[in-house]
Amino acid sequence: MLSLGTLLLGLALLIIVALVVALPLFDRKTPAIELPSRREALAQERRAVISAIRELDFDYHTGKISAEDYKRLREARVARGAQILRELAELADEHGATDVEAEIEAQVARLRKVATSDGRAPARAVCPSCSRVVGADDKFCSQCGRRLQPRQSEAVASAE
Amino acid sequence: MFADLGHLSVIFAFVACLYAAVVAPLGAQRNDDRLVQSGRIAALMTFPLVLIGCLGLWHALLTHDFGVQYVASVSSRATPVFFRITALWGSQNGSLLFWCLIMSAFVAAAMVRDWEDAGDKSLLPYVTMTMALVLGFFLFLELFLANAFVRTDFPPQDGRGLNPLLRHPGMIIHPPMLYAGYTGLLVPFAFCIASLITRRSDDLWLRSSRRWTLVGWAFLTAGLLLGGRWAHDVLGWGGYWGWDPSENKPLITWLIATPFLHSAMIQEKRGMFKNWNVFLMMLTFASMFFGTAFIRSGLLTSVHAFAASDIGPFFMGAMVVILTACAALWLTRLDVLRSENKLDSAFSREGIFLIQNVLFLSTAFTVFIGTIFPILSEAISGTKITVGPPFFDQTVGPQLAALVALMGVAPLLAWGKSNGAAVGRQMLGPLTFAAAVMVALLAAGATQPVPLLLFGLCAYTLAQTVMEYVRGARARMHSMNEPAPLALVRLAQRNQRRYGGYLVHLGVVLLAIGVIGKGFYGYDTITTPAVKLNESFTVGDYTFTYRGIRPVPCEFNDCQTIQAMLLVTSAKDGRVLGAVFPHRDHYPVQQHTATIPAISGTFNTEVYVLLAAWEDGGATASFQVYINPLINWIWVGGIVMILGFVVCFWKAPERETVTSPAVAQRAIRAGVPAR
Repeated sequence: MLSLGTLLLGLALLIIVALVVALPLFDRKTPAIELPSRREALAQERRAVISAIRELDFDYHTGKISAEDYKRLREARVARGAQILRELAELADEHGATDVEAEIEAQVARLRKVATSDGRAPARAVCPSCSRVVGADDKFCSQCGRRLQPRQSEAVASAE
Repeated sequence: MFADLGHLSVIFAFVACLYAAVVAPLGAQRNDDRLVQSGRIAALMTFPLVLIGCLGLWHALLTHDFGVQYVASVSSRATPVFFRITALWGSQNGSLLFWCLIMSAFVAAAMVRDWEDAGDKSLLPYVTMTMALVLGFFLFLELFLANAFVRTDFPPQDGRGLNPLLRHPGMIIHPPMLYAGYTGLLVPFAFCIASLITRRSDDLWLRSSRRWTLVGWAFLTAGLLLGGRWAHDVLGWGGYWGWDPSENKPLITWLIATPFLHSAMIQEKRGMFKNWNVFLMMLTFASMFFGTAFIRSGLLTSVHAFAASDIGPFFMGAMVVILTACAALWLTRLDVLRSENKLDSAFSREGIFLIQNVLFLSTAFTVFIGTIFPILSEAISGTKITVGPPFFDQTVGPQLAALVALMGVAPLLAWGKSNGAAVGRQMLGPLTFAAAVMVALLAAGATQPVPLLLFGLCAYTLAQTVMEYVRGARARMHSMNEPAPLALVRLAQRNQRRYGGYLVHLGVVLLAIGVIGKGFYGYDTITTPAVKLNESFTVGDYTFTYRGIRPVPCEFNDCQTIQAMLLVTSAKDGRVLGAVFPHRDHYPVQQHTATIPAISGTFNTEVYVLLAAWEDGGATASFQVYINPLINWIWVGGIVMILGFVVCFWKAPERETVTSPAVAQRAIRAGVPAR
């Protein structure tokens, strides 16, 4: 027979696990599966074709394949790659700009707005360590990770 | 109390599995992510729950709670703490629980991975379902057929102690390694099933589970090698391998998982062999279950007889049902899995991979037939006939040699189509090296033709594999202007799978050298008649002089040890080389005697001495002496194989992606990936 202590501990364990498992059920409903799109399939094939071309180049360079076979196989693979790119471009035309492109446009628009809001270029700075252009408010360089002093960014700010 | 809590926790884990297996696919059907996520968390929770179960049993083992039957059967008051911890997997019921723990760890790890990619997300419900079902099956066995938590009303004063065979460091990590190997391969299996259910034709399941497959394979490899080491040190076989069913079982799985690693590459690179990969994955899964069923059922006698119980028939029946369901699922998806490309030429890397795959499978099948031969022969003729090592050596040996030869040719071939003349040119150097090695061996007195040829084959493959690194590094040095060491490192970094794989090949060749050395030049002698006190006998280059036996304190406090002493001198010049002390440990409670070898010699020649028997208080004794040339190469080869895995698996840090235009242009012209 189980002791009372064991039973209580077991019960506590059960309640904790049940709560944790049930937690997502209280969320807002979202679709479980986003159907794989044609674009996704094409992008994947594009990756495969690029990888195949790289392998082929490498095999040719290490002397494993003759020049004419290399040329023929590479042409076939490049042709397939071009076809994929064309299809991807057509898809992009059909559906308008892709999400990523829309995101980029939005970012550019935001930056333009910042730049023109006070009639002059946004404050900019360069990292003293790697010379990458950084934002005036940045605390660290996004390239080399160096900590940026507020004074340093101000010193070179608004050069334009 | 803690053991009982552990028992409850394992019951909850079982319920969590059932919940996950139902709710996750239901979520997919209703297109409701909440259900899928809930199922995912339930599957994730199985790990802490089973861990609590194991902690409960560990607590009982450490506190001598002999009221738990399992604790009394695998430990005693005299068992050291360390072995009370490892006793968790010291017998059937506990080892099944431990198996569930490792499997749940893999399930949890698969559940916490990043599932945000749209493709992966579509697989998630069914990956969860498959893994939860398989884990649930094992938890069911644990709870209802082999329960480690069962209590007795009359606890004994003391337990029986741990099986003496299991008191070896190799035995402590060998089972967890093998379990991790098997359960690691469950992950790609779950992805495969999910891919079939969702009718995907691409290689997403392979790409998403690639690293898991590697982990499973590496653990399986390490488990096999450690098992061999354990047998070598404890079982007194004189060698590393005895073709025991319990060894053959993981070997068969390894012989199927290894070609899978290769053919998966063909699907990823060329979009071919889709059905074949599904077939191999299912076969891997099947091999693991049937092997377990055969051995655990007691149908086959093995060194693992201590793990036998009555779960076998149930196991077998359930597995037939599960595998039939898997096969049916696959057959309904044959149309989805058509190849995207045709074989350009048989003389290509994909062509030789196909040959390699077939050869691996025929080797696996040969081992399988040899292993189940006792059952087959009993069914047909009514007599149980066991085939011994000679059968395996003669049938499996040549196939393994052919695989070593393929390793020396496959890296030379290109994807698509290869150039015969170029391949011939690249073979010249290594062939010359092999010929030189054979001449040197011949000059050193190795005149037997078969091992001479086999050593030549190993030398060729070794040289060819090294040359692959040289060629790749040279191409980089030429096109990227990199110094040799940098080129070599970058080469491996840019194509970890290829060059890590070649390192595994190197390990296999070293291992093969050990196998050939031990197999063809090793021998053993049993001293008959028994040797008298201070009498000498000679085996090979060694002369042994018997100096008597004496009782010594046993390594563990529940056994009695009798140790013999033999003085070893060189048979050539009489130089004293040292002494060896083989011993026999008698365990009165378990009524078991372990014959523990004395192992000495040099790196290249191992001397392995067993105390076979003695009479008249040690006035005469007989010994079995093995001379094992090159056996240590096996362990070195194994370590190199694992290093190869590390190179394949290691995730190189994110690289600087900006390359100067000049370097990029040069790279494009040269055809070497600049990054």
